[in-house]
Formats: sequence, structure tokens, C-alpha cells
Amino acid sequence: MPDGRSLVDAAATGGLVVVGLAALALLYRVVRGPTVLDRLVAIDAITVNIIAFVALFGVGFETAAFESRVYLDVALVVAVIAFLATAAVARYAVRPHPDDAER
Amino acid sequence: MLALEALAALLIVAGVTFLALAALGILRLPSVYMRLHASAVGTTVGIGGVVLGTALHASVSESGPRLKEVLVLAFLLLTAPVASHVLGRAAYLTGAPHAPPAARAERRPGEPGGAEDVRRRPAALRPRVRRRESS
Repeated sequence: MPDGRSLVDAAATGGLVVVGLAALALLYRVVRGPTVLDRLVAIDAITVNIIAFVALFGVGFETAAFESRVYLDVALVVAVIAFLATAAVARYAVRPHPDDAER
Repeated sequence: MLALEALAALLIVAGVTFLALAALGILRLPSVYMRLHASAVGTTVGIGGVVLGTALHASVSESGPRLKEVLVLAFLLLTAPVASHVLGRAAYLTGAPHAPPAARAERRPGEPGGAEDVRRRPAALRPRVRRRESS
């Protein structure tokens, strides 16, 4: 019978691998496009994967000095920056083009 | 304690599964709107599961529950819909193409989502096509 601690550790370690591979796979969509918004959707998903990676890293590799919630500061900052970046680039994408004669 | 830790592990595994499925959807689906759907739903549920599992683990094994996990979760749940709405609006306004009819349910012309439905939109919502060569 495994104790609870090793269960969570196993889940976190396996999750780190899966989330990391998912983020790497999403880079294919960033490169492939075909439009800015396709890339932006993929980048948004990558940052969510990074947040999950940081949270799982905190659980999987916690020590006495750095317990798992220390890493959540990093996750929170990444979340704020990711949201602002997504919103800003999406607003930029719909701005009328200066060369557009009709507007 | 064992039951709670097992529940935390289960939440983490479920969340990671959803994140992987969201990535698969973004890679495989044929149009921006479909990818956005996979991304918005999948990542919200996925990160929710992961953070809830982490929070449960931390409140069982460490120095009691604190507000930080709740803060991360609340922020993500508040901003994810806003971000996907802004992305979807941008895709619609720039006239991003829908998936070809073969990939969707078959639709007759003129039905919602059909090819010339774009021209019936109100002027403010019509795609702003960039014209490179002036005629």
C-alpha cells in the first residue's frame, strides 16, 4: 500500500512530463500558423501549460525550505502577464490597417 | 490523510489529461474557432484540476491552507473567458475562414455559418479585409 505522499509525487512527476511535451507540441501550431490568431491561441495554451508546469514542479520537487506554494507566486505572475499579452495582441490584430482605403 | 492525498493525485492526473487533450485539439482542429474552443474549455478545466490538486496537497501536508492557491485559481477562472472572447472577436472581425464544409456538418448556402453568411452581417461586424493593391 503506497502512502499518499508518493502517490502525489508520482502524479506530479508524470504530469510534468506530459505538460512539458504538450507545450512543445503546441510550438508546432505557433510555427505553422497560418494567421496571427492561430499563433496567439497556441501561445495562450502554452502559457497555461507553463503555469501548470510550475505548480506541478512545486509539488514534485518541494523541500523544507521551498514548500510547494512558494512556486505559486511564479504561476500567478505568469498568469497575469499571459492575460495582458493575449488581450493586447488580439486588440492589435483587429486594428484597421493604415493602407486600407475604405477606412 | 491517505484519501485526501489520493484525491489530490487524482485531480492532478485529470487536470493534466485535460491539458494534453486541449493541446491535441489545438494541433488537429481545422479552423481558428474550433482551436479556440478546444483551448478555452480544455485549458480552463485542466489548470483548475492541477491547481486544486496542488492546493489540496499543500493544505494536507504543509502549514495549513492559505489564500494563494485560491488566488491563482480565481484569477485564471476570471481571465480565461475574457481572453478567449477577445481572441474569438478578433478572429471574427479579421474574417478568419471557417473550416471547409466537409469538416463540419453539411450546411446549405445561406444558413448560419454558410459561405455567404458573412455578407449579411451588420457593417460593424463585417470582416475588414486588408487590400494590398489599390484598384
